Amino acid sequence: MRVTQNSIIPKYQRTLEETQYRRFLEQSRLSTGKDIITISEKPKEIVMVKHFNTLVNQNEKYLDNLELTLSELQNVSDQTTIISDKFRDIRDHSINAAREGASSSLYTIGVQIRDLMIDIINLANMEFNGHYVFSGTKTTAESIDMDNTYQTDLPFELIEGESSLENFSGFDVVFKGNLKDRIINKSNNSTEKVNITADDLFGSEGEEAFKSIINLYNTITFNSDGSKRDLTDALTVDDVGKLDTFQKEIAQFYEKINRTNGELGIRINRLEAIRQQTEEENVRLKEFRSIHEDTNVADAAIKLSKEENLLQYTLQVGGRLIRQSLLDFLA
Amino acid sequence: MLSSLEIGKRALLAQRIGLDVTSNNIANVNTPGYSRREAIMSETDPLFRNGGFYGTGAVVEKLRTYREEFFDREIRDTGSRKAGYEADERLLQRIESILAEPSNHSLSNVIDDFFSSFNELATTPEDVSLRDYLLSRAATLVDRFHTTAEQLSTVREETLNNIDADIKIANGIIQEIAHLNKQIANGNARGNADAQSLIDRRETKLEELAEMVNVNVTNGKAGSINLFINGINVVTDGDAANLKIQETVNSNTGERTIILLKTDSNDNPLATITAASGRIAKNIKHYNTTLDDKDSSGGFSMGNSLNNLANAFVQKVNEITTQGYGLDDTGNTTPGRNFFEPSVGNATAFTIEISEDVLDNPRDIPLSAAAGEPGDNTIARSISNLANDSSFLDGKTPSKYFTDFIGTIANMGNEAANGNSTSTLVAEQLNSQRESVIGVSLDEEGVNLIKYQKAFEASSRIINMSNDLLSIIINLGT
Repeated sequence: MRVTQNSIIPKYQRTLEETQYRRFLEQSRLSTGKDIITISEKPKEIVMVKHFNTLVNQNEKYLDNLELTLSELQNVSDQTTIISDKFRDIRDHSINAAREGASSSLYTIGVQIRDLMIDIINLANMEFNGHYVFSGTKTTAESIDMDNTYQTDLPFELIEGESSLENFSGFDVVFKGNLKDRIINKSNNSTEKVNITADDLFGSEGEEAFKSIINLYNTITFNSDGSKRDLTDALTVDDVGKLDTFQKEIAQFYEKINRTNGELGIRINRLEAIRQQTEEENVRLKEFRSIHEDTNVADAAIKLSKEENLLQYTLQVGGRLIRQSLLDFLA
Repeated sequence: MLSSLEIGKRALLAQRIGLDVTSNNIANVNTPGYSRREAIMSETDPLFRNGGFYGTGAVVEKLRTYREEFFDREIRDTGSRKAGYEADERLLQRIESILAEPSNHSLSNVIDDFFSSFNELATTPEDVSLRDYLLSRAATLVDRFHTTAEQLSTVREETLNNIDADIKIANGIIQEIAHLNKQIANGNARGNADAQSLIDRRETKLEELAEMVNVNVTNGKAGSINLFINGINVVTDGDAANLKIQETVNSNTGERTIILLKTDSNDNPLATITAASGRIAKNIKHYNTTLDDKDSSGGFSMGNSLNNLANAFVQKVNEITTQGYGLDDTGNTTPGRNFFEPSVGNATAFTIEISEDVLDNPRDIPLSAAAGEPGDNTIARSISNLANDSSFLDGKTPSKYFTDFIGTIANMGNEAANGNSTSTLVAEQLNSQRESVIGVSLDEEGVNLIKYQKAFEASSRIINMSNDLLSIIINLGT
C-alpha cells in the first residue's frame, strides 16, 4: 500500500486530538472529583447516580423529620412524666385526706390538689416548635375555638364558673383542641403517629381526668352543703365513700398516663432504631452513589500519567513524521 | 545525425513535462481532493530504414490520473453520516449544558427539593417560615422549568439559523457543481487535459455538500454528473435547482415544522426532499422533533417531555391542594386553592407559575384536610407522597420520569459520540485508502524528481553530443 503525506497526517492529528481529550478528561476527573464529566459519556452511570441521589435526598429529609419528631417525642415524654408525677401527688394527697378524716389540713390539701391541677393544665398546654403538643391537629392559638366563657386561646383552660350543687367550686376544665392523630412519613411507605392525644392522657374528650380531680377537690374542700370546709369540718361517711371512688379514678388515670408514657418510650425507641437504620442506609446509598459518581483517584492519576506520556511520545513522533521525506535527504 | 538531435529534443520535452507534473504534485501535496498525476511516456513511431526499425524517441502520451469512484462515493456517504453525528453531538452537548447534569443545581435536584419541602412541612405544617421556604422552593422549580424551556427554545432557533446558513452554502455548492459540470464538459470536448483539476474540485464540492445532506451521483454527458438528494435531482449537467426550507404552522396546535424543498430559479417549489443524513437532515429532525415542544410526531421530544412534566406537576399538585385548607380557613367548604397555574387547560414548562391563590400568603397554602386544624398535614403528606407516586406521569414517579429523560438524552449523546467516532475512523480509513491511490507521496515524487532530472541531463548530453558531432562534420571541409 502506498503511504502518502495525507494518509499519515490526518491519522496523526486525530490521535493527537484524542490523546489530548483523554488527558483533559482525566484532569477534569481529578480536579472535580467526579467521574462523570458529561452525561453522554456514561449514560448508564448517570441514571444510577440520579436514582441514588433521589433516594439519598429523600432519606435525608426523612432523617430530618425523624430527628425533629424524636426531639418532640422526647420532650413530650418528659412532660408526660411530670404530669404523671402530678397525678401521683394528687393521688397521694387524696389518700392523706382520707386518712386524716377530719383535720385542719383538709382545706390545705384541697388547695394543693387545685394547684397541682393547674400545673397539669399548664403542662398540657405545652408547645414544641411553635405548636401545641396535646391538642391534636388544632395546634395553634388561632385554631382554638373561642366562645364567651373562654379566657385564653390555650387548648386546656380552667373555667371558674358558678357554684352549683353538683360542682361547689364551679371549676371546669375544658379541652378546646381535638383528638386527632398527627402523622408523619418516616419512609416512602410508612407513617408514624407523632403525638399523644388528650384522651390518651386525660380520658374521654381529654377532660375526664380533670373532672375526677375537680370532684376530688370539691369533696375535700367543701362540705355537703356547699360551704367551704373550715378547720373543724370533718369528712362525712359519704365524703369518704366519694373520696375513695375519686381516688381510684385518679389512680386509674395515673396508670393510664404511665402506660401512655411507656408506649411513647417504645415509640421513641422504635423511631430511634428507624433513624439509625435510615442513617446506615443513607451511608450505604452514598457509597453506592459514590461508586458511580466519584473519581477513583488512583485510577485517574495513573490514567492521567499514561495519557501525558502518550501525548509526549505522540508529539515527539509527530515531529519526525511530518518533517522527514526523501526531499530532506536530497542535496 | 539530425535524428539524434530530434530524439534528444523530444526527450528533453518529455522529461521536462515529467518534471512539471512532479512539481505540480509536490505543490498540491496538501490540496484537499487533489489526485496525483503521472506523466505516461511512450515511444514515438519508429522509422523503417536499412531493413530495420529505428526508434525516434519518446513523448508524453497522456497524464494519468488516479480518481477512484468507489472511494469517492464511500467517502461522501461516510462524510454525510459523520457530519450528521457531529450535528447531533454538538446539539446534545449544548442541551447537556442547559440541563446542568450532573450537578446540585439541576432540575432533578430542584424537583427532589420541592417534594422534600412538603415532607418537611408535614412535621410542622403550621410553621409559616417553612411555608415561606416551600414557596421559595416552588419558585425555584418554576424558574428552572422556565429557564430550561427558554434555553431549549433558543437552541431551536439557533438550529433553524444553522439550517438556513447551511442551505445558503449548499445552494452555492450546487451552483458551483453545475458550473464545474459545464467547464468539464467543455474541457473534455476540447480534449483539455486540465479537466482533471476541475473534476477534483467538483469532487471536493460534492464532499462538502454531502456533509450537509446525503447525495447520490450518476454520470452525465461528457464527464458531467447528475446530482440527487434522496432521489430528487438537483443538478443535471449544467442546470442546478435551489434548496429552500419552508415552515408550516399547525393552526390547531401551533406546532411549527419545516420541510426541505427543491425550488426552481424563481423560488417555486418543485419537490419535497426528505434528506436521510448530513447536517441539514439531522438539524431538521431536531427542529421538528427533538426540540419541538409541541411535537406531534411521537418521537423523543425534549420540549414535549418537559411540558408533560410541568403539566403533571400542575395537575397532580392542584388536584390535591384544591381539597385542602390553609391556616386561616374556616367552614366545611374547601376554598379550592390551586398551588400552580394555569389551573385550566394544559400547562407547559413556559406557562407554569405559582398560583396567585398562595403566592402572596404562605398561610393560605392548603396543607390540611380539615378547616381550623393547622396541625393536620394530610394534604402536605399527599403532595410529598407524589414523589413516590408511580402513576405521576407515564407510569413513573417524577424523579424516575426525569431520570429517564436525562438517560435518553445521555444515550442520544453517547450514540452520537460513538457514531461520530466510528464514522471518523471509517472516513479516515477510506481517506487513507483513497490517498494511497490518489494522494501524493513526497518520497515517490522525490524519486521522480531525480528520475526526470537525470533523464533531462542525459537528454541534454545527447543534444550536446549531437552538436559536437555536427560541428565535426561541418568542420570536415575546412
